[in-house]
Amino acid sequence: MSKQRCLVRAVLGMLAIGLLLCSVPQAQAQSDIEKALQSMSGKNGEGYLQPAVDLLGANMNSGYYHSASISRLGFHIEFDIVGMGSLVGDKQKTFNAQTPAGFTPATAKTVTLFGETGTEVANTTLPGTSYRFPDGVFKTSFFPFVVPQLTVGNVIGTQAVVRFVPLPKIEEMIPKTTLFAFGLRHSINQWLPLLPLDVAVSGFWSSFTVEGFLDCKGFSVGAQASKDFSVLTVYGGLAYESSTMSAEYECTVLGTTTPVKLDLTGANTVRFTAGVALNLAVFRLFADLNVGSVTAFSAGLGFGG
Amino acid sequence: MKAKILLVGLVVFLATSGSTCINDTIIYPLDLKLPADFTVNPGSTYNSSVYVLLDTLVDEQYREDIKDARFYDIQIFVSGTYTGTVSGNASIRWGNMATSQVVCTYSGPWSAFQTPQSILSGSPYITPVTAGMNSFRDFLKSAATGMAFGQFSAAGSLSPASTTQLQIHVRYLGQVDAIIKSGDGDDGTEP
Repeated sequence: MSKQRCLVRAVLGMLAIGLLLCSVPQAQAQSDIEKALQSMSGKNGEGYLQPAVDLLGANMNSGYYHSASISRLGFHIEFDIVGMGSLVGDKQKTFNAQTPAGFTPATAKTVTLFGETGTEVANTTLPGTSYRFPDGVFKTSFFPFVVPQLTVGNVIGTQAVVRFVPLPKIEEMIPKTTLFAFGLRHSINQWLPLLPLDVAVSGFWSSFTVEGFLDCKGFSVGAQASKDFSVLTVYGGLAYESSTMSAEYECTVLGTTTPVKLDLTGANTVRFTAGVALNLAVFRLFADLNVGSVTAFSAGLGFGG
Repeated sequence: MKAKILLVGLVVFLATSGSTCINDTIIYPLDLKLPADFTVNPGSTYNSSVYVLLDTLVDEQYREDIKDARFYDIQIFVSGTYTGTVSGNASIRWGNMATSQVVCTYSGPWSAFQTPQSILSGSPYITPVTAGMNSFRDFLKSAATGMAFGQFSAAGSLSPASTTQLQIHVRYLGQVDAIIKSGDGDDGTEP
């Protein structure tokens, strides 16, 4: 695919779904993943999909804040468009898959959905026979995600953060897709006024569902601190988080079709965040780096405040 | 206006950074089980054939998109009540082959074959024949170039002679690679 074609598809896709998701045509990607999974039983399906929950989970738990400053009372409303992206490293591109029972070797390294060419492995004890694993679907070094986010407050130094994008089913092209996230942030400074930094604690829960295929959940609790320098805010935080993904598909092996349900857990459990926000007259720009098992970035544009 | 430009810039950046794309072509190896069921009439010898149109074993949506194929196992099992021993060979004939080629030979107590025996699991009752296995692999690969039609046979003997009708089942397990170009529809055709 040419870079231009990819760009056009990506931009149109994003605009069409209200700046919600990533830059690939979602329905096509879903269809391709389902096809690749068709011949994969549980363990191999898990290995093939695991990077998706690692990266998607890291993205879903990113970009919730770009300051720890929350006043005790006063009307606050802020609308952000937040883009996140996780780095697709080499460890996200391969996994050890199981060959059919009795095959030698019993396992072989092949690609996940983020790799390119699936491995064909020859049976070393039965010359002339071999087994091949499916190719990857995505060719990327960066797995993006875009969401709108609304932050409202402040009541007793507390803000609510909401992300919500309902995408109806569009014929057979795009399945019903829903993103929802909710969280609370609470200022600590009102209780400890002598702190040299703005400090807040937070908890967030999120859900991303592609009907009939994926159900992802994210959860995060943490603390963040920030300091203002004129129009610049430097912020950082520490969070504990989890992410899970359930995937359902039909596996057809040797003419027998069986439904498969996989429950996967994302790799990220602890993340450190460091970022900076530029506060201008009517909007602000922000960007941060998130370090954990998965490295993620978030950046965006915010209005209000 | 500045905000609009920044918003559009952000969208384009997020859409393009990292060149997130779907791979140009994606190969899905589809598991394939080629069944060959042979009737063994009462007596001490048997020779039976079945004909298989390979296309019919491949999901319709992928038939135009087969690129390659391979196989990884042959399984043999039997049905019917019999207490003697069975021996014989399974063979294939396809394309321009003048005669059948033996893919494997088998020999052992009938009761042993009531549990499926497999070359992959190293069954002591089945001996693969390299030339025949290569011929079978070529037969599968011919799915990529058009309609593949093959004659599968089983021939051999029973000791003592059987007094009832029996069945020998051979299963050839392989994969055919469906190649899907990015942008194809579900039907596997070009956009």
